[in-house]
Amino acid sequence: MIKAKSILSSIIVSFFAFFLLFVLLIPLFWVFSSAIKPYGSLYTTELYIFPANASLKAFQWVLFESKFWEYAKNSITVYIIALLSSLIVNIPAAYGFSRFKFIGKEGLLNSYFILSQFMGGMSVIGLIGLYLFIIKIKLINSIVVVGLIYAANTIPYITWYLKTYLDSIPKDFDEAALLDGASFIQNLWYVILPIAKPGIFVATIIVSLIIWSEWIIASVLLSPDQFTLPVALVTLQGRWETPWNKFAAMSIIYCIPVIILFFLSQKYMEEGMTIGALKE
Amino acid sequence: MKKPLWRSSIAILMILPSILLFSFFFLYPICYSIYLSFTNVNFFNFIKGFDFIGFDNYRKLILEGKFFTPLIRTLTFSVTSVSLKVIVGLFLSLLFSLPQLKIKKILYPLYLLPWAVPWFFLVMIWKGMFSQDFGLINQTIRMFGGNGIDWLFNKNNAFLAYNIVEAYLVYPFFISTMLAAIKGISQEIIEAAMMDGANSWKRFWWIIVPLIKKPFQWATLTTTIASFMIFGVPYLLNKGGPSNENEFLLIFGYKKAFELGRYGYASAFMVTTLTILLIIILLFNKISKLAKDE
Repeated sequence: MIKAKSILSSIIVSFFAFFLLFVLLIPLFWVFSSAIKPYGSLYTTELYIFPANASLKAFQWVLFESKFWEYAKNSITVYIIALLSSLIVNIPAAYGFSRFKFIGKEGLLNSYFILSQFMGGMSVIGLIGLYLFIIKIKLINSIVVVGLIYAANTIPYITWYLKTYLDSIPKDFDEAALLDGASFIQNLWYVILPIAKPGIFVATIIVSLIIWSEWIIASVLLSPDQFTLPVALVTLQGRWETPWNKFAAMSIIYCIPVIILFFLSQKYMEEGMTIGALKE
Repeated sequence: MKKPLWRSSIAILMILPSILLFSFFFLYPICYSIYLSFTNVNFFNFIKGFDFIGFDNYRKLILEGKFFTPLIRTLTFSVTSVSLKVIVGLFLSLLFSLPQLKIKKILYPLYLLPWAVPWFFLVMIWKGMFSQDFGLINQTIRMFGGNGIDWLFNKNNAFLAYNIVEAYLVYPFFISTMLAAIKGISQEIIEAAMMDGANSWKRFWWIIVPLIKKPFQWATLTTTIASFMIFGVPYLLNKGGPSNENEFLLIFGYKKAFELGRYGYASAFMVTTLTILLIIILLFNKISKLAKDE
């Protein structure tokens, strides 16, 4: 009797969890079904998950007729510049914070950590100053500059994160290498980097997810022919004449890389994203 | 004696590039904003030259009450949206802590799926779903014989829509934070509690809640501050409309600068927001320090 009852309650709970999941994923089903809907039928009032006369025309339009590849090229350029400069400045900084003592170290690290929780809002607050400053030094409309700005915005979190990661590597490794006469740079490059790969991997994923979806700064600093994919999508949708199916199709293609990355890194991400919470 | 000095100069060399990049593209622009907030700079006189006008922008902000309305609106939103997020987050972690739920391993990544999608795209999907004519929500309402709701062109409905979308964006963060904490509890403890006759609710309250308390406080604090700096969701849904009735602090400042070109005035607005934000962050720092000492 008790067993039957517990099986029944299991079924009810699981059924409920599935139902809730279905509700939560409706927006994603919906955008997918709008992408394969012919344009005219968007305005019908019928409700269906899989549209009657589905077609891949919108995807065809995105890949062969739209400016998708132009935007993608800009996005990838910004991404590479931002990711490389972020790693180049953050890894040595994290090493410095982890292995050396200097005045103001703890205060700086604490401010980095607190600031990192509010970077999104801070970048909007500083946007006017940034925009006019970039105009003044005549670097407006430069993809490289946008990449560097993104890298700068990653510094508080990534330096802090990598520093915590490097702290977990025993100092004996450094001491041994340094006793053998290696310089600090050699030590960082040949000894620490190979051990710290998993931490750098998580940092790379976090930076990638942030950069790939940033549109606020880019929309202010870039002109239309330099738009990255997110900016292009935001402006595309802002116009009323934009067919929703084309917008949906372009967005889906744009999202594929990050979704794949997200699930590949699921195991590591959990650790990376919640480290702040567990630290407390 | 020479060695420590040499070591710390190496440390500075390693940190310097990051400090320079950060100062140049993040700190300096914010300082420049502060300077601009004391000038009459706008779209037309920025290149030709603008004048220092002291506290005029701030005086205007405060005397005309232009700061007060968005501030109250933002605080209201923080309260409503954080409450909603906390309720949804607690509910979902309760669901996932139930031993009756057998397929957690499959369900968990699927629940996190929206997190994998860039947030601005989710907001735009919701914009489509809220659309008057072809949006899924109104289609569903009509299917059941109701009239469609004017979601984004009505002040209160739009406010409700922001809350729904914000909760949708944040729930995966809550679940993953809570579950990282719950994972530490062994299934045996939960089952032992059940043997003792603890029902689900008691088990949740006495076993789960104490364990998720810290991460939960953490998640609540960060979302509170994130709600205070709300920008993307209302901006993408209807630009804080209809007709500016739902402008929050950052949206107000952004629109004054990039739609009207009133850079000096908008900077004063942003700097005032920043000041309030810093006060909140300092309090937040105090609270998290207190939590650490506990």
